[in-house]
Amino acid sequence: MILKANLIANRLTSQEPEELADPLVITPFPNLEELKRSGSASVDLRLGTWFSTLRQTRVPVLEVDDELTHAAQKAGITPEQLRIFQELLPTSEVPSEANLTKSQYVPFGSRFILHPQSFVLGVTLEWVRLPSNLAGYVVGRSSWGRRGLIIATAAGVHPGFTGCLTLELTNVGEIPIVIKPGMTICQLFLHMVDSKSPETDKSPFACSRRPSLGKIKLDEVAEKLSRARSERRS
Amino acid sequence: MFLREYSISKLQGILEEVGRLKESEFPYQHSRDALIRLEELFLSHKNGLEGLAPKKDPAIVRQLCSAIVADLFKYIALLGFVLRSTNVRNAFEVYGPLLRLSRQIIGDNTKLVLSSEWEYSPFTYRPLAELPNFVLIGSPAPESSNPLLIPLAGHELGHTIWNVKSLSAKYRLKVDERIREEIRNRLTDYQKFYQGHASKPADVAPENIFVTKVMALPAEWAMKQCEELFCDFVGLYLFGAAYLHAFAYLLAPTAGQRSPLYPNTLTRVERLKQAAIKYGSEMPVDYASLFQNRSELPPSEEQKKFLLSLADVASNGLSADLINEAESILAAANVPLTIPAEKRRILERFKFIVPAVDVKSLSDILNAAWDVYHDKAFWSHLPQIQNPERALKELVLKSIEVLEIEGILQSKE
Repeated sequence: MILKANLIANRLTSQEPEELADPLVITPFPNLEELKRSGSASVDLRLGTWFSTLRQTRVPVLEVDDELTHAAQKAGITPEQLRIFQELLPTSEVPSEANLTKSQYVPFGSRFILHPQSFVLGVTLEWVRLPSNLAGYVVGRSSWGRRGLIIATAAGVHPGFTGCLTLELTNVGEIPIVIKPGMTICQLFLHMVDSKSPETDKSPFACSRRPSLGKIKLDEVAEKLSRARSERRS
Repeated sequence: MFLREYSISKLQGILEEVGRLKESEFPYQHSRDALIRLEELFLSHKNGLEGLAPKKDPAIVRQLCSAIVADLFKYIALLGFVLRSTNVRNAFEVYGPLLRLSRQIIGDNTKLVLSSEWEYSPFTYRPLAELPNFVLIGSPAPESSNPLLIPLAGHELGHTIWNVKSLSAKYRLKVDERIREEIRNRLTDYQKFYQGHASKPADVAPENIFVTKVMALPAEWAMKQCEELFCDFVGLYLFGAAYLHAFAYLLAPTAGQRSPLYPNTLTRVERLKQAAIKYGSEMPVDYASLFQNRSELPPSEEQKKFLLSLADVASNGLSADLINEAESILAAANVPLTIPAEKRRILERFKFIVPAVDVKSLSDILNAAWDVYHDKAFWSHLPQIQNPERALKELVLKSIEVLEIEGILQSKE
C-alpha cells in the first residue's frame, strides 16, 4: 500500500506509542498543511548542499572488481591495508572513493550548473529515517524530467534507512540546467512493508549528509564465475 | 639600485597569485572579500612605487620598499589561509551559525573566514590593519571537519572581542599595578636580579623608570595570559561543557615547554573551573586529571622565571575580573546559553539517529554531541551503525545545517 500525503503527514506527527518508538522522520520538516492539501501520494524532497563528481581526468576506467582484490584476499591483506595501498598507488585499477570523486559544497543562494550529458551525485536536503514497516522509492519530478534532468535511478529506500538520500542527477537534455540547493528536486513514495521482521537496513550509505558512491561487492556467485573465467584463461 | 624594480616584480607576482586565488570556488563571499582587500593593498603599493619620479631620494625608495616587504611577509600566509577556506574538509555548515553569533557579539559588519591551518591548535590572525572587521578562524587541518571542536572557535572569537572592546587598554593599568604590588611583596627576590632599582617597597612606583623598564616584559606576558584566559571564558560562556571537552580533546595532556604567553595548563584549567561555577556550567568529573603542566623554564633561566612568576601572579589575580568581563559582554549581546532541557530533547532525537529540530542554540547541539561521544553505549541498540563516531559527526553537522535553515526561514527578510 502506498501512503497518501495526508497519511505521511499523520505518520510524521503521530503520537502513537508504537510509532513514537519507531518513527518516520523527515528533517527539515515538510510543510504539513501543504502536504495534506496536496492530495498526492508522495512527499517532495529538496536538493541539498553537497555534490560529488567523478574525477574524469584521474581515473582511466571505472571497474568495481579486479584481480588485485583476489590477490589481496589470498595474501591475507586486510581491506584497510588494501585501501591504503590503493590510495598510495593512484594508478591502481580500483581507486578509493576519495580518488574517484570530488566533493563540492554549494551554499544556499548559490547554484550548480549541470551541463548536457554530465552526471553528478547530489543529496537530499532532508535527512530521512524510515521505520521498520515503511520502504520508499525516490522518483524524479516530471517537471524536471521534461527539461532533461533525470534523477535517482537507484531509487529504493529500505526500512530502517537513516540519512540523506544520494541522488544521481544526469542532464540528458541539450542545454545546461541550473540547480540550486533548497529547490524541490524529487519525490519520495512510501509503502507499507508487510513483515513482522524487526530486521532493518544495514546499508553502508546510512547516516550520511553527503552523497556517497558506496561499495559494490561481488557476491559469492559473481566471484566464483569471475574466477572460473580467469582460470580458464590460464 | 634595483630595489624599486625588485619590489614591483614581487608585487606583480603576488597580484597575479591573488588574481588566481580569486577564481577559486569560495563557498562564502567573505573569503573573496578578504582577497579583494589584499589585492587593493598590493595594488596601491605597486601604483605608489611606479608613480615615483625616477630620481626620487633613494632613502624614500628604500623606506617604501621596506614597508612593502613587511606587508608581503605579513599577508602571504593569510593568502594560504583564505585559499584553504575553500577546502571541502571544512565544516561549511557551521559558517552561518558562527557568523550570526559573531555579528551578535561584535557587530553587524563582521565578516568571517573559516579555514584550516597546518598547526595543531585552533588559530586566529591577530587584528590586521587591512582587514579590520574580519574574524579569521582556522582549525587544525585534520580536525577541521570535526564539529565537536567547534566550541574552540569561541576562544578564537574571544581574541576579536578582546581587540574590538579595547580590553588591552583597560587591563594594562591593572596588570602593571599587580606586578608592582608583587615586586613590593618580593623585593628581596627582585633585588637579587636588579640591584639598585629600589631599596624599599615605596620605591616601586610608576615614576621609577628602572622598575618600569624591568616590568615591561612580564607585563606583556601577563597581558597575553589575560587575553588567553578571557578567550577561554568566552568559549566556556558560549558553549558550556562542550568547550571544556573540546579543549581537553585537543590539548590534553599537553606537551613541550611552557610559553610565557599562556598560563600554565593546570592554572588554566583551575580558572576554567572557577568560571564554570560562576556561569553555572557543568564541569566534567575529574576534568583536571586529564591535564599536566607543560615543563617550566630550566633552572639556568632564574631571572626569566622570576619575571614569569610576576606575570603569572598578575594574570591570576585578574581572572575573576576577566570572568566577569566575558560574562558582561556576552550577556549584553544576548547570546543564547546552554539549556540542559534542550540538550536532553536533542539527545532524544539523536537516539533515533535523526538531526535535531527547533534548536535554540549551537551550544545545545554541541553539548548533546559530546554526551553521545562519551556514552559508548548510546547506540548499542543499533548494531547496524558501523562507525558511531562518523555517524555522530554527520548527525551534528546536519543538525547545525537544520538550525541554519530554520533561522533563514524564520527571518523577516
